[in-house]
Parts: sequence; C-alpha cells; structure tokens
Amino acid sequence: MTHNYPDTHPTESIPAFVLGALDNDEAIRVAIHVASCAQCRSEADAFAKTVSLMPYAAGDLAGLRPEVKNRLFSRIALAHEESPADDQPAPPAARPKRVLRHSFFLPTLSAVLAVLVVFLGFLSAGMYHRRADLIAELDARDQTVAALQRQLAERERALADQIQLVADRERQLAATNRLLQQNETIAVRIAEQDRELATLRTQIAETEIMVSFLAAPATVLQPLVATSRAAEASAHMYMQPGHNQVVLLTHGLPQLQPGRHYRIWLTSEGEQVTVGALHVRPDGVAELVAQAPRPMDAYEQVLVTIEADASFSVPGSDVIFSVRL
Amino acid sequence: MNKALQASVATHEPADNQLLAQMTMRDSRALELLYDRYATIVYATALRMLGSVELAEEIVQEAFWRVWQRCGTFNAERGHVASWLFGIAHNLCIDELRRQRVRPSVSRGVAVELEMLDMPDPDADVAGMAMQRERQRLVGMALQQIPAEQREVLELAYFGGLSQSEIATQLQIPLGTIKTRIRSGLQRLRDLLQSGRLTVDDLVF
Repeated sequence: MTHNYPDTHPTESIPAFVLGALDNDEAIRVAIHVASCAQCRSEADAFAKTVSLMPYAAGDLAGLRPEVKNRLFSRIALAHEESPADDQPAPPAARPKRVLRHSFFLPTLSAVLAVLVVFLGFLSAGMYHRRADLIAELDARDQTVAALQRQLAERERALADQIQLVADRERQLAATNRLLQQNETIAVRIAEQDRELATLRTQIAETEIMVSFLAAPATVLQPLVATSRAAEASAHMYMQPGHNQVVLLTHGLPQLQPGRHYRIWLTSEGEQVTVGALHVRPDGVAELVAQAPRPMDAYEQVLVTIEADASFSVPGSDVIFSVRL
Repeated sequence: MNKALQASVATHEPADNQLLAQMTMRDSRALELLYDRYATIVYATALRMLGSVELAEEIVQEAFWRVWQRCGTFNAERGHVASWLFGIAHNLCIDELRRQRVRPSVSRGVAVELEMLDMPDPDADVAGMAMQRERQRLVGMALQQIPAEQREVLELAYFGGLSQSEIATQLQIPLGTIKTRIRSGLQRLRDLLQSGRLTVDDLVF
C-alpha cells in the first residue's frame, strides 16, 4: 500500500498515527506531512491530548514498591558522584532571536524576500520530485532494514538452537565418558574376581579330592620317619593299595631359602621318580596331592629331600623323611 | 469530579512545568514530587503492557531517569509534562514488547506477580492518589461509553503496542474496518472527554 500526501491531508490516518498504530512506512509519510502542515499538526496535537490520557485506563494504581523510587534516586546520586558534569541536563532547544532592530532595513528585506519567494517557487517543483524520490528511497531502506532484522532474528534463533544442541551433546558425551570409565573399572574388577574365583575353584577341587581320598575306607595311613634334619617335624602319607594317588601331609617343617625346596620321591628297584614338591605355608603345614606313575604297591620306599633347582633327576643326600613301604 | 477535587487539580502546586524548571537546576526534590504524582500511572501502564512486575518497575525507573536527564529539552509549547512523561514510558514499553517478540523470554509466575502487587508503598501520597483515581474513573467512564469493538482496538493499539494491520490479523477482521474503528473510537473518546464537565487540559494539567 502506498500513501503520498503531496496535495491532500492524511486526516483519516492521523488518529492511528497519534496512537502509534500505523505501519512504519505510512507512519513516516504522515510524520513528514504533519511536520510541515500546521492544520494537520493541530489535529494531531488534539488527538495526542486524548491519547495521553490512555494510561489512566491501564488498571489498578496500587502495587508500586517504594524500592523502585529508592533505586531511582540512588542511581541519580551515583551518577552525580561519578561525573557531576555529565549529570547536567541537556540544554533547551535554541530559540530564534529577533534581529530586526532598524525599520530602515525593512524595504530592502522585503525585496530580498520577494526574490527569494520567486526563487523558491522554481525550487519547489524540483523539491517536490526530490521529496518523492526520498520517500521512495526511504521505503526501500525500510524494507531492507525490516528484511535484515528478520534475517538477524532468524539467525539469532538458529544460533541459540545450535548452542543448545552443542551443550546437550557435550552433556551426553560427558555422561557417556563417565559410563565408559565406570565400565572399565567394573571390567577390571570382574577380571580380578574371575581369577580369584578360578583359584578358589581349583583349591576347592583339590580339597574335595583330598577329603574324599582321606575318608575312603581303603585309604591306608603311613607315617614317615624324620631324620635328624627335621627332628621336630612330622609327616603322614595316605594311599590306597592298587591306586596311583597319594596324599602327603607334613607339620613343623621350616620354610626354605629361595632356590631350595622339599621334593617327594618314590623308589623301587631300578626306578626313582619324583611326584612333586612341598610348599610349606607360614604356619608350617604343607600338603601334596599327587599321582604316581604306577600303583603305590609297586614302590618300595618314599623319601622327602631338600633339593636345589634342576637337580631332581635322582634324590639328593639331604633326606629329611623316609619310610619303607 | 467534585469541586474541591477539581480545584485541587487546577491548582496543583507546584505545577509540573515549574517542577521541570527546578529539575534543570538539579533539584532532585522536584523530581521526587513529579515521581509521587505520576509513578503509579506509569507503573500501571507498564504492568498492563508487559505483564511483569519486574519489567514494569524497570520502566518506571528508566522513564523518570530520562526525564531527569532530558528535562532541559522539554518544550512546554508542544504539550504537557505528563503527556511527555507518559510518551517516554509508552515508547520504552513498545521497545520492550518488540524485543520480546524477537527474543521471547520466560516471565515469572503469575502467583509471584500478584503477591508483589499487594505490597503497600509507605510513602504513598494519599491526596495525590485520590486525584489519580478520580482521573482514572473519568477516563474509564468515557472509555466505557464508546462501543466495545472500538474500545478493544484502541486498547490493543495502545496497551498491546500493535499496529492496525497486526490488530486486523489478530482479530481476523479486514484492515479497513480496524482503521475505521480506531478513527471513530478516538474521535468519540476525545469528544466525550471534551464535552464532559472537565476538558482534556484539566485532566492532564
């Protein structure tokens, strides 16, 4: 819609103009006209008085807290302290002064004015076209500004959305990282517990075998004789005739230095085999569940010796227990 | 309006123009008198337009701050001090409404707003308040006398900060009808106020 008011008055639009309800382009055109037209300015001023009473129809007058007044006067006091010069009010608009002091100049001035009127007459036609051009240019700029404002608003919204999206992703990533760290910790613990469980199962299996072997009616108890090297120790061997399994329990054996260990030997004519080593616990007890290559009936003697590493193909001379079967 | 009140309106001392003259000499007491006279009106307008106690309080503070800063530029030949002040506050509210349309923000709950509304002002000027309420009653009565559809568009334009075309879109009514209602409504309101026992000038000083 276009409204130019070169010759007519925008009387119909003045109430909406005063009320601030005109769209921008029309408001600018009416404002330009009112500024240069005394009749319309008078009309606008009359409506402006009515509009200025609209605040009285706003509603309840109660409720304004006294803190607002305190804040206003604190602000004024602070501004005065910080910059007394800036606190001065803006100066009143300059008013035209009368300069005609001598009636002598009036005829001359009248002539000059007459020339000016003629000159302005020529100018006015050009000015009218120029004003139309300016209004058109103003329209175009208004539209451009409005379009840019819309683009800016859309970009601000898009940017806000993206910022929110990035923040959400960062939060999700942090949560995922925390879960991954917790999972890794849990996996390590599970692996440790699995290893402990496997060890416990092995121990339980060995214990079950030993207990069932020891409790069997056919099991025979055979004490071992200690030599002077283990005078305060004792050893007992459990075995079953016709079976290969053997269980050895010892008490009171001292723990050996690194590189040396207790080894159990089974001997028969022309054969000497070892069935394992004893590991003495801190309480001095040691136990061994072993499988002999042949039934125990086939062996004539059991020896327990102290051996060094890699020297156990035949029993050494350091015997601490022995027994003839 | 009774005669005593009318007399007090007409002889309100010191006059607003005089207060503004004192303010140009940095007399903050003059600003305080002006504040006591009009702050509640400015606040009620801002609260109705923005619907937020916090924002309405900011508008009150900013409007009077600008009056204090710009009192030297006021031209008494172009209107009344109250009209000037109300115009400053109204423009601030319009700017805030436009900002909210571009970048909406979350406002506080209605319960909090209403709770804060009940807080009394111990410094309230009782006589001044009575005068404001009388003006409020007269303007409200005049508004009630114009047709409801005209009153609605006037209120949407002034308190809603909407243009004619925005009102037409909101009410789903042709733009030409909205223009007619605004023009007729404002003319009717002006005539009612001028034909009453008080003129517009009496009401706004």
